[in-house]
Amino acid sequence: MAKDNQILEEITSREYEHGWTANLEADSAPKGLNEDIVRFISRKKQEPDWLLEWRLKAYRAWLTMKEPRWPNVTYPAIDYQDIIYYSAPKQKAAPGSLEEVDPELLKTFEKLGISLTEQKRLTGIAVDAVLDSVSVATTFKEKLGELGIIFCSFSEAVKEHPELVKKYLGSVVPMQDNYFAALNSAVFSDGSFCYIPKGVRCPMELSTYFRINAAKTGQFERTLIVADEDSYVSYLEGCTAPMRDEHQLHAAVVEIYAMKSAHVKYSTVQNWYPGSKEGVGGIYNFVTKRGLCAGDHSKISWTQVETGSAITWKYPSCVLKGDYSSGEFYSVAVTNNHQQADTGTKMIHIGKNTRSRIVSKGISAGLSQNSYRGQVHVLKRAINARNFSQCDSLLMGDRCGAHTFPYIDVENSTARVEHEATTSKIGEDQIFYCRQRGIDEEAAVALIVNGYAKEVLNQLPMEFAVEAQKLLALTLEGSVG
Amino acid sequence: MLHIHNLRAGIEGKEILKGINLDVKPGEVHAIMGPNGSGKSTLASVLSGREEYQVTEGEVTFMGKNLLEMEPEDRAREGIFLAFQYPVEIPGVSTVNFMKTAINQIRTYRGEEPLDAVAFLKLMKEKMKLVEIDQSLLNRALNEGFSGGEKKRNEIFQMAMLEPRLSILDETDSGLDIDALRIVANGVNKLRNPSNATIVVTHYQRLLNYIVPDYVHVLFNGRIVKSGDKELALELEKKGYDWIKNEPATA
Amino acid sequence: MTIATANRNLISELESVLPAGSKSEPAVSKAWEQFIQTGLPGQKSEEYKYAPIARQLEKLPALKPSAGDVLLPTPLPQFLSGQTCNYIVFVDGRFSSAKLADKEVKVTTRTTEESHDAKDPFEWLNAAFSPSLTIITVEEGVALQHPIAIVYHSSGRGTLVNPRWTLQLLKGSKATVIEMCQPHAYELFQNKKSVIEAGEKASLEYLILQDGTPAQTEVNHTEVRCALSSYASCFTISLNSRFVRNNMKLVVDGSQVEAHLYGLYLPSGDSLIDNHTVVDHRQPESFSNEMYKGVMNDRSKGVFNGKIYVRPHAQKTNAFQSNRNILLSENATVNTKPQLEIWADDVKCSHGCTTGQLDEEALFYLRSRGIDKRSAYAMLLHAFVAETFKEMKMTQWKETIDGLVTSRLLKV
Repeated sequence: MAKDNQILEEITSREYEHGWTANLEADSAPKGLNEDIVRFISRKKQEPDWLLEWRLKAYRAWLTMKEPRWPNVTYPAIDYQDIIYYSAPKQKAAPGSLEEVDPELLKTFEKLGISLTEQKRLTGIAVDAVLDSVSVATTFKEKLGELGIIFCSFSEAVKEHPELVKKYLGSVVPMQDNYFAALNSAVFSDGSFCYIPKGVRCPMELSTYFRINAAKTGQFERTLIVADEDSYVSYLEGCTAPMRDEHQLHAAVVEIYAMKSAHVKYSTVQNWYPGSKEGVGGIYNFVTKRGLCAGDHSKISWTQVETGSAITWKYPSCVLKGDYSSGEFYSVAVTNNHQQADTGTKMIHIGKNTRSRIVSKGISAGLSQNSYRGQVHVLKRAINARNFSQCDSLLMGDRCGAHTFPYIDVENSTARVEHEATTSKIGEDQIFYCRQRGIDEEAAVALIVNGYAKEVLNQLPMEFAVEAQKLLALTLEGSVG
Repeated sequence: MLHIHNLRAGIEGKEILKGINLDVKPGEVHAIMGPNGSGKSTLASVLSGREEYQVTEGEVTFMGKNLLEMEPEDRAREGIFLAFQYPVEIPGVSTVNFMKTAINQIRTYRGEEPLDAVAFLKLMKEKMKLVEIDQSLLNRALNEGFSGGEKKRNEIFQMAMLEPRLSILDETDSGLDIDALRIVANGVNKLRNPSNATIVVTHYQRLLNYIVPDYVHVLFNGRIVKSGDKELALELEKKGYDWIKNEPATA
Repeated sequence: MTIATANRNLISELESVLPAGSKSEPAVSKAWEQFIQTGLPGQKSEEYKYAPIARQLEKLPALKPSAGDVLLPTPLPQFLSGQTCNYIVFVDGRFSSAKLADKEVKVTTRTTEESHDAKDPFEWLNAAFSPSLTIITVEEGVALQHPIAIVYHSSGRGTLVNPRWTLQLLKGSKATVIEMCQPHAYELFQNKKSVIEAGEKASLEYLILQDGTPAQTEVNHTEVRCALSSYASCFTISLNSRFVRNNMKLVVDGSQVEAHLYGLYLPSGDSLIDNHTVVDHRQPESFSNEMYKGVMNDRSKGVFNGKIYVRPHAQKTNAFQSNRNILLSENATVNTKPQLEIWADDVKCSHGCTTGQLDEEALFYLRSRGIDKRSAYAMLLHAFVAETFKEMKMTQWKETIDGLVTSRLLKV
C-alpha cells in the first residue's frame, strides 16, 4: 500500500508537458458576450452579411437555451461574461506565405513538434494550425490544390468559397443543436475547412492543430469537411493548451458531410491541459462533432484518444442517412486526478442496410470520473440495420469511477443490435507476470493498458498512434492502485 | 548460487513453509517433489516474489544478494525465471512486444545497451528454433486463447530469451500430454549449461524422465523431509508419498 | 391540453380524493408535499422517458381510491388453485384479510412511516394514499412450509389503488413468495410499493406474476434488501396489462450475498411494459446476476433500464447483467439502456444487451429436420424466453408459467 501511494504521489506530481505559454502579442475582444461582441467578431473577420445574420440567430437561440447537466459530471457554473471570445495573435497582415508568418508563431508550433515549414516534409501531413481563435498557417496548400482539394482556414473559405460554406455550414450540426453548438455558432472565430472533390483520394493526412495560448480566452473553432462522391480523406486533429489556474472553455463544432461512396476518417488526439493534480485549472472541452452519411455507401469513422482536459463532454456521432452507409466510433478516454470525461457517440440509423460499430475503452485513475454515454437509434424505416458496441472500463485505484450509459432505441424489427460492456481492473496476476520477466510496474501498466486499448489505437494513422501510446503511458504512469 | 536458510513463510497468516534449507549451485538441477499442499508452489512463489506471501523467518540469498528484499522485476533482472504453472493471458499485448520490453529493461538494469529491432528479431529467430515454437504463436496476444501446451511452450521460449541463471519450473508438466511434455523438456535440456541452474517443482516423477535431476528433495508439510538423487524420485513413484510422511525432517 | 396543465389538473383532482383526515398524519402530508414538489413525470423526465405515465392517469374515467376497507369473498387465483398458501389479500389496495397456513407467519399493520430514500413521484403518491402499512414477518430460523401469496383483488369501486406492504424474513428464515392480481375487467391504476427485507442468512424465492387485462395500468415499486449472507432469487414475469412499469430495486446491503433478478416481458397489442431495475451494491464481496428478456409483438413497446451501482467500498463485487430483446412485428419497438456506475476498482461487472431476431441458422436447422416453420419458430422463441424462469425452484409454478408462456407464443 505504501508503495502504491508513493507511486501515485509520483504521477500526481508530474508536470503537463505542453504547459508553457508563448510570448505573443494578441489582438483581443473585450471580455463578455452580447450582440456587439458577435458583430465585433464578424467585422474582424470581414464576413458577409448572411454569416453575421446566421451568428446573431444562433446567439439569440443560445440565450433561450439551458446549459446541459449530466450525472457524474460536476463543475462550478461557467461565467460566460468572464470569457474573451476573440483573441488573435497580432500579425502585420494576413500572411501570404509561410515566410511572412511571425517567427514567434512558427516557434510556438515547432515547440509543439509541429513543423509548419513545408521544407520539412518528413511527415507528409498537411497542417492547418489554429492558435487561440485564428488559423495561422496552412501547409501543402498548393500541392493539394492541384487535385482540386480545398484545405484552408475557415475564414479564408468564407472569402474564397462562400457558396460551399453557405451550403454546408450548419447542415450537419444545426446552430441550435445544443447549448454549446449554439454558442459556437454565434462566436466561432476560425477553424479549418476542407473539400475533397468527386473521385479524389486525398494523398496525405490533413491535420488541424489547435492550441489555446492567451489567458482568459475561450476557443471556439469550427471545422467543416465536405467529401464529394467517391472521395476519401483522413483527417487528424491535435490539441494542447498552457497551464493556467483558471478554467478555459473550448467549445468547438466539427461537421462532416459525406456524399455517395465517400469515406471520411477523422482522428483526434486530445491533450488539452487537464488541470493541476488538485483540480485547479484545465480546459472544459465541450465539443459537438457529427458526421452525416448523406449518400449511399458513404462511411464516416471517428477515432479519438482523449487524455487531456479537466472536463470532456463530447459525442462524435454519425447520422446514417444513405442506404448502405456506415459509421464507426473508436475511443480511448483516459482520466486521472480530478479529470472528468463524459464521452461516447450517437449512431442514428435512418437508411436501409446501415451499419455501425462502437468500440469504447475507458481508463480511470486517481479521483477521476469516466463515463461512456451513447445512443444507437434505429429508426422505423431503417431496414436491416446492424450495430455492434463494445464498451470496456478499466479502473485503477479505488477513488475513481467508471460509468456506462448506453441508450439503445430500436424501432425496426429487422435490426440487430448488440451491446457489451465490462468493467474490471488490471489484474494483479498480469502485473506480476510482467514483473517476473523483469518489467517494472510502471512499464507493465503501460504495456497492459496499451494492449487493452489496442483495437482503438490500431485505427490511428501511424504517427498519431505512436504519440497516443506515449500519452497513455504518461497520463497513467504509476497509477497502480 | 541460491542459498535458502530456515525459510518460513505463509499466506494470510497461515504458515506453509516451516523451515526450508536448500543450496543450489551452478550447473545443478534440483527437483522438488511432494504431495498436494506440501508447499511446493509456495516455495516457487516466495522465490519469485509474489507479494501476497509473507516471509516470517529465515534468509534467501541469490548470487550473494538478499533476494527477499528485491522487487519481483529485480529478481528477474538478477536472473531468476519462474515458469508459471498457470501462465497469465494479457489481451492485446503480443509476446514479441512483451519480450522486447522485458529484454531491454533487463539489459538497462545490467548497464547494457538495449537491443535494436534487428538484433532482437535475430535473437528471437534463434531461440524460436531452439524451443520449436511457431512464429504465429508469438504474434498473437500473450497467451490469449493458447492451449495448455502452447502456454507452457511459450514459457520455455521466454526462458530461452531471457537466459536466466536460475529457472524455477512450477508444475510445468501439469496439463501436458506426452508429446507436449517432451517438447517442453527438450527445450529445458537445451538451455542447460554449467553456469545456470534449474529447480523443477513437480508432483509426478514422469517429467524427471526427461529432465534428469542431480538432486531430488521431498517436501512435506512445509519441510524438506528427504533428499537424494534421481533414484529417490523412482522410489517415490513406486511407494507413494505415504511412505515418506513418517520421515523426520532433515535439518 | 398541454402536459403541464394536464398535470396541474390531475394533481388537484388527486388532492381532492386524498383519504379523509389523512393529511393530519405527518408522514402522509410530508409524502403529499414531496409528490407535489416533484410533480408527475412529463415527457422530459429521464426516468419515464419512454413510459408516458401521466397519460395513463388521465385515461381513468375518474380518480377513485378505495372507499374504505372492503371485505370480499375472495376466490383464489387459478394460478394457485389446489395449493396451500399463506394468503395475504388486498382489496382495492387495502389490506383485507390473511389466511395463514404456517404459524410462523405474522401479519400486522401500522401507520405508514416517512420513507427517506424514495425518489419516484409515484412512491410519494403511494405513501400519501396508504395511511397504513401491512407488515408480514417470518420468524427467525424458520423454513416456511408453504408459500406466501400476496393477492390483489379489485371490487370495481376504486380506480386508483395503492397497496403498501413490507415482508421481513428474519435471520436464517426461508420463504417462497408470489405476488399477483386476481384478474378482473375493471379500469384500474395500481400503484404498489413493497419492501422485502431478507435478513442475515435468509433465503428468498420471489415471483411477481403480471397477467392483467388491457384495462390495467400498474406501477410497481419493489425493493428487495439483502443482508449479510442472504440469498434472493426474483422473477418478474409480465405477460399482459395495458401498461406496466416495474421499478425493481435490489439493495445488496451485506457481504456474501447471492442475488438473482430475472425478468420476462411479452407485450402485445398496444401495451407497454417498462422494467427499470437497480442493483445497488453497498457492501463488498457479493454477487448479483440479472437477466431480462423481452419479445415484443404487434404495436407494443418494451423498455428496459438496468442500473448497476457499485459503491466505493464494495470491493470484490461481481455483478452481471444481460438484456435480450426480439421484435416480432414491424411496429414493435424496444428502448433499452443498460447502465453501469462503478466506484470501486476491484470488481467484475459486465452487461450485455442485444436486440434482434431469432437465429436464422437455428431456424433452418430445425426445419431441415422436418419441423414446420411455425413450430420451429415457436420452439426457438420458447427456448429464448424459458431461460428467464429456468432457475425457479417452485416447479409447480414453473410449469404453469411455462404453459402460459407457450400458449402466448403459439398465438404469435
